[in-house]
Amino acid sequence: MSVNKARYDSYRSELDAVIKNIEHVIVGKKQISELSLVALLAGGHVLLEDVPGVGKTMMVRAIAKSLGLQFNRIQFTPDLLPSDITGVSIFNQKEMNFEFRPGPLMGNVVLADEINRTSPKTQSALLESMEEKSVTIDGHTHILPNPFFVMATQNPIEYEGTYPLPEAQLDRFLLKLNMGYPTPDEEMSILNLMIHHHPIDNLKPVVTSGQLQEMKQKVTEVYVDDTVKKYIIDLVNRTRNHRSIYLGASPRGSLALMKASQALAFIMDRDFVVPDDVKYLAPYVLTHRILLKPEARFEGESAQSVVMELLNRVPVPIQKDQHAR
Amino acid sequence: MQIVQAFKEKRPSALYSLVLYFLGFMLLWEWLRPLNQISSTEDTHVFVVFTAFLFLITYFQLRLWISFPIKFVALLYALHSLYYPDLFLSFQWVPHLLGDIQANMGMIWSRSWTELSSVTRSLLFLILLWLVSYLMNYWLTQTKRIFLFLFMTVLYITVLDTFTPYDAKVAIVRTVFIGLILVGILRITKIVEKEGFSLMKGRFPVMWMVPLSVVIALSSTLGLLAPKASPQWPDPVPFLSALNNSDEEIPGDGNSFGRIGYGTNDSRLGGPFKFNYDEVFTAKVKERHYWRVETKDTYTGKGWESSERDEPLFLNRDHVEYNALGSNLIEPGGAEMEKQKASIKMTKRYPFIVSPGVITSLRARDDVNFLMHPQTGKINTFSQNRSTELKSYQMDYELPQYDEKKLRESGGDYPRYVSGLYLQLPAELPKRVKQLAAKVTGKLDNPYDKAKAVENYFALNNYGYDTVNVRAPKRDEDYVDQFLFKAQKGYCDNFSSAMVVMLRSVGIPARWVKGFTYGDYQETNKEYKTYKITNANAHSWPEVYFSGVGWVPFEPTRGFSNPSSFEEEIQSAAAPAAPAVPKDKKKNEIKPKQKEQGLDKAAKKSDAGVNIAGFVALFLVLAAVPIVALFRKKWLRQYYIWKFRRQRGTGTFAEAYHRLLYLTQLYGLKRDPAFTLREYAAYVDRSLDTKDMKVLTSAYESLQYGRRDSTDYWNDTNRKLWENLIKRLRG
Repeated sequence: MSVNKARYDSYRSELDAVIKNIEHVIVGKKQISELSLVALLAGGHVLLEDVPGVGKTMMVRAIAKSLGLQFNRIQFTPDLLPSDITGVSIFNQKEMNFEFRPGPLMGNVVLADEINRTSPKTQSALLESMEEKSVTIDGHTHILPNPFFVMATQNPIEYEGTYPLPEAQLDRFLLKLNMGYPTPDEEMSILNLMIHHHPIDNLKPVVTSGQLQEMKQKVTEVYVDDTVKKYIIDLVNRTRNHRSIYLGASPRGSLALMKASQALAFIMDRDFVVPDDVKYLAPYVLTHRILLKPEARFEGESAQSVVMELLNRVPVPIQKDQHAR
Repeated sequence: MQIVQAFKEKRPSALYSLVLYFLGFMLLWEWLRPLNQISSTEDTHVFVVFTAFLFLITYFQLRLWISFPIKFVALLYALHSLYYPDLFLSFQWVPHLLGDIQANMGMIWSRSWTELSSVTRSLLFLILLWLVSYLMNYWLTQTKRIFLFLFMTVLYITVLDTFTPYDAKVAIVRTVFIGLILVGILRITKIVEKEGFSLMKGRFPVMWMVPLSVVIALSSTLGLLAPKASPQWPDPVPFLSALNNSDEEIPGDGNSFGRIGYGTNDSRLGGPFKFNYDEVFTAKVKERHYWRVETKDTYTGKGWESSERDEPLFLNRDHVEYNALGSNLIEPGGAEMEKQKASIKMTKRYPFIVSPGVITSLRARDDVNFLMHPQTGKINTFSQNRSTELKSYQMDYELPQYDEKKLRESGGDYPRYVSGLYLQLPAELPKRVKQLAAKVTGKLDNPYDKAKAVENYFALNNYGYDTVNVRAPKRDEDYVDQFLFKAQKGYCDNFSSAMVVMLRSVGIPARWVKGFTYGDYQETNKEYKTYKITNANAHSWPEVYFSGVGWVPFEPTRGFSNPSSFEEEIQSAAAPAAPAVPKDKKKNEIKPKQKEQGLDKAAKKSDAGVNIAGFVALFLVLAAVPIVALFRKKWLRQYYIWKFRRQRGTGTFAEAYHRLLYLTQLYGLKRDPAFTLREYAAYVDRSLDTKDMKVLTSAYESLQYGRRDSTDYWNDTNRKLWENLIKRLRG
């Protein structure tokens, strides 16, 4: 057990280092960095929904840099074509054959900025590759690099000329996060921090790609007790029967909740999931997977508030035999 | 300033609490009052005084460590004054008490309530009173609700009034009156507290008592004076007991109220009584048999009297011509006689002797003369022309062995002195008694079979033995008629009188005999057995005269069998089963062996004490439930700590953790089902100002949600944290 423990401690220190690294760049967003790590370790992707200028891009870059990963950025615009992001085969006249020129998607950490500004065609090209971890161009399947982590952002304010993502697409993001504005104190620190040069330039990788792979493997080994699984199912199931919800979360939602919980438990230095993990993650995992009824929306409810209400209602299993019924 | 003072002094005024405690005590007293009537509890005043003392101590609101020892000493003193004659301060009684308690603990565990000694029963009862007084204090001063208790009291009294001889006419008025005042005062207090305006004056609004007392006084007076409707439902008691008595051997077995011993006045019979197990005498005999004292010949419709006309005769103590002199127990040659000897030691002093039958000689103090009343057969003892009481005497006598054949052949020609005295019946005797007797005996052709038919009639028609739920006949009722047709249950006097009257009405001479049954076996010395006869053995039975045989005893009382010896005819089909061998005595035929071995005083007392034990047990349970529930916070804490200090092994930690969850919730730290354990632990830690719950919870989590082996979790560290948390729970 002590050997295991030591192993976990070392991961813990690496993870701490990553978070600290991010904190050098992004002030006061420890929670968001942690959740991003959860998504990364669980092999999922993140949808960041917030106004411009709160540091979304900077955070993604910080993560990429801390992990020594290749960072690509795609600015989505209405005229962007699928081939613009996946890459394209160009005829090489010297070699007399088609040569694949990889697009910006072919990176480890991809920032898909303002994803709702592009056409559904391009959106789905991105989302498909996110799910499949590969792209097919001209009959050739190109495997995406590993790890592959997409952080998409969308602006909740400007809807003019946007193509809102359909529900089925949203489902592919493991977590949906909101950055939120910094507090005045934090903002002061930001100003102080940036006064000479941008700290991102000084960031050094703290985790190797091999370590990351190892951690991802460990995350899948985190134990989830049946009582906790039942709690997840209970929670997700209730979104399907709730009076304010038009469309509840799918089984992919349950799976996402479990995987995210495993990753969180791992980050928290535990080799088993506790209901607290589930409860903590549920708003991030579930809110973008449910569709409210129009009347509920009129009454001022939000997906967030409904999920919170469910969390306050669904009993937490605290005993094994309680669920052995 | 005064207002501020009033705010500070939340303590109610002394007079107010005194009134409250006094009324509370009066109400509780109502529970104690009937005890000496409905059970064999004597000296109920000790319990009353003890209760009063408890209330007084509670009134002074002493600290627990002062009041508890005082109350405890009071309890011991009460117990001492009930059972131990020596000085309280000598402490010689303490070992006895401890020994007794120790002996009875086993019985308590095995729940043999009836076997408990009276000391233990009284101890339990005193503890119960203590608990109840505590509970009442809680009701009066904490919750300020007493209605439930008042309701229970009324229920208790009414039930007693209905089912026992206890007459609750006054008690019910008293209870309702006291109860209403108490409820009223508490209600006022609650209103005052709720609205908070007593604080303006700092005292109880006495003026409010005026309308309250007026209302109570008015309604009570009205209730007392108002015409009362007669009962709308028939009296449930006969119905219920009829249901009970389908297996009639047991009733009356010790369940008794009132008091009886051997008395001389039988002119008014009836009503319930209670067995008294005071010893009357012990007898050393070879064969057990009933002991006669006297016979009575005149039935008045209410009871028995003696038409004594003959002069009493002096007996020659060496050669008693007992038989020849009018008593005519056995006609010459009427039965085979067996010579016997008996030795009697009297405990109670009576100026007469108990006789086994045909006495041939009597031995006693030299100065004593025996004077016999020929008609009743009663033998009085005199010394120097003054009535005297013997401590002991011996006698030779003969026991008859009746021949059934001879009895059947005996015809209806009776000597004049027999038919003249022993066919008497009162003129007012209801006709249906005669009709019933004629119906019962109609088809039979000889007096013996007729007598047997009447003797068996009661058993065949399910007349019950009951000393408790029997009411005395009303003024215009005939004693026998009431028993035969209305009550259909009763005790020896009922059965014997009925048999005598029925036989007389069909022309068979019979008389009513009083005496004792053979008592409880004590020991055997050579061939002589010692029996102890107590007041409870006082008995009556009929004797029937058969020409040529003499007076033959019968035993119609349910549960008793005739100890006289009959030689059965081979073909005795006409006489349905009458136990003819000198077999058994009393009531409980089911367990004669047990009776015979005489399970000593305790067993018998417990027999009589079934009642009080039952009542105490019931009361205990009823009172214990709310008390246990009320104080479960305190004792559960102690209990869990005690339990888990000892417990080891897998699962202990999880169990202990869950007990802790239960306790914390009991102490008001509610866990919302949607709370995770961490959230709850944080809440508990915040409330109790610790961090222990978090530590325990994370240990529990790895047990519950992780795949951990639970064995090493219940270690000293965790246990200390756990105990600490439990100890921190307050209020």
